[in-house]
Amino acid sequence: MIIRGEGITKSYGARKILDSIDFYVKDNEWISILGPNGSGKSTLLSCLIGSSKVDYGTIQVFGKDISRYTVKDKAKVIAFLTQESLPDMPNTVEEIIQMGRYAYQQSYMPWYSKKDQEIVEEVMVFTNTIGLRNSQIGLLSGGERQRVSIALALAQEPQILLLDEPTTYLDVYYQLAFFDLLKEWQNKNNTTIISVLHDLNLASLYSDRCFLLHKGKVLDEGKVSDILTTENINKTYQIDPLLIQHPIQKVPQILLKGDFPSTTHR
Amino acid sequence: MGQIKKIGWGGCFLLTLFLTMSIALSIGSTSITITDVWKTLLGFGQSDPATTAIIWKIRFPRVCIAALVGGSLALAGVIYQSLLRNPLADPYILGVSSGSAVGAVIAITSGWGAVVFQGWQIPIFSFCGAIMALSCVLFLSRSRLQVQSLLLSGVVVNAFFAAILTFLLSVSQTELARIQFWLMGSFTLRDWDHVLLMLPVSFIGTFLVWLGSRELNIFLLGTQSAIHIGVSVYRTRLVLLILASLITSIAVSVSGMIGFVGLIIPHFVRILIRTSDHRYLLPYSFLVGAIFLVGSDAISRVLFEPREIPVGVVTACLGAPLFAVLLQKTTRSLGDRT
Repeated sequence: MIIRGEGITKSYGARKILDSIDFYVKDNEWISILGPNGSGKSTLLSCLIGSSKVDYGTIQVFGKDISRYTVKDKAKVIAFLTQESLPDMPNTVEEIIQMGRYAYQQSYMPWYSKKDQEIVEEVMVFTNTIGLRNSQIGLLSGGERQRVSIALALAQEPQILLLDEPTTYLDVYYQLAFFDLLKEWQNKNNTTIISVLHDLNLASLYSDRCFLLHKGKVLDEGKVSDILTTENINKTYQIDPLLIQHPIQKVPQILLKGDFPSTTHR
Repeated sequence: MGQIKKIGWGGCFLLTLFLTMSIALSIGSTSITITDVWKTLLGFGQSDPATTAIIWKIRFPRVCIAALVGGSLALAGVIYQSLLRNPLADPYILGVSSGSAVGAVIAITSGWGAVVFQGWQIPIFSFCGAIMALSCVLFLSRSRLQVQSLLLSGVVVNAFFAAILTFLLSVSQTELARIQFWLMGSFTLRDWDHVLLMLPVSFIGTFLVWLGSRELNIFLLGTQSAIHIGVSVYRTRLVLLILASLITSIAVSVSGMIGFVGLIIPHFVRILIRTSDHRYLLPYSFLVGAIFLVGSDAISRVLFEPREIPVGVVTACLGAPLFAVLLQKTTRSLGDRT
């Protein structure tokens, strides 16, 4: 078991964001945390990485309580990718990706070892950023920047990769490219991926298992094909979806009915 | 290749500093040729005792102080700008300057400890004032050391100490000129003792800060990203803030408040060497700050001879247009649009 969370409870003031959630992740899984806005997805993620402290309950990563990890040790195990792209900074792509090696570096000179450089080269090749290595990050497009973000996260050699709606600002080409890249990396390196996603169809295609959150509780958990039901979606997202089976992948896909409120006869 | 070029800049700056210091030693009320300056410094041949006295007793310590203060302020400026993620940050933004000013003015007006501390009276008082101001800022924003709360605490503390300063100025009539001159910053009557005070602080401080240059680089990514990469952001920030403030307060206590160096030199170096890699930015800002202040001080001595003008006037008059031209010519981001 990679991550085991029991009875995770978290409130902001009087509002209970997470209400005794049980959560577990097995080796080499791709987990999706689904649920509408305000259901507690992002809070759960920030509790998992230890950025927010839980009020009740425990979260163990590799059998050790998350609060007992040092910042540095945590960075060797968990990498975090968010929807926010890298800020405009005058550094080159390579300099930024090198920062991902921080947790492994010694605190005296020379900081940067041969192994560090090897891994940086490897992730640059993998993410196809090697041609951009001397470019300034501020001059790159959104899709290129997201690739640099991935490279930065992968340079940490994480065993667990957390994604918080990482493709929000990307077009469909880059969304697919993004997920394909991570899937390939996962197969190659046995990385465990936990993603918070808005796009249910992408979640259905890429993840092995998912947790459906509703008002701070786990409404349902299991294989995506079992979770994405008309009833569940109706209850959580409060829409009336049309569920079909993907003709090739045999996983559920959601269509919107498109029956707009009619105005012509009024 | 880029690396060689960046190291080359360091050589350039060192050479320029060397030249500027030589020139600054040679000009003044008595003109001494640069050859004679070096003969005296290195002890070659016979040099006349008056020249030796001028160089060793008056000009050389003064030039050294100017270099160390300029370097320290520029270095502190880099740290503040990076930590506060604000291009307008300078070494005085957290109230260190007004705190030390209050300390110095108390020393001048009250005369306390003048007998015991001799020439050290003003530096000691102003250093205590600076530490007090810094403690206030850290106490006010102690919970998480967020950028916003630090800046706001700085504004509050600055305002409070400025009020005390105004009060002290209004009640003291006799020492007004002396206070004014101190506030504007000056290197008059500084001797080797001051150099010996500045030297270890500058060099050890610079070295310690330089060890944090990797963290300073990563801070450009933003607080959350830095944490996820493995930087203990709050601890590092606290250590660097205290270091920068100590360096600043020592500099201010020795020389008074010299504006502009800590604000523009870091930007100047960023534009010039085209990097925001703090491994280069920190030492190069130190060197350029030193060059700038040694030059400014020399100008302030000779421009209206025999009257000396406050060096702060020169730094601003020289720095503002220079910086404006540089800013016009570059479209490069300063690493601040985050």
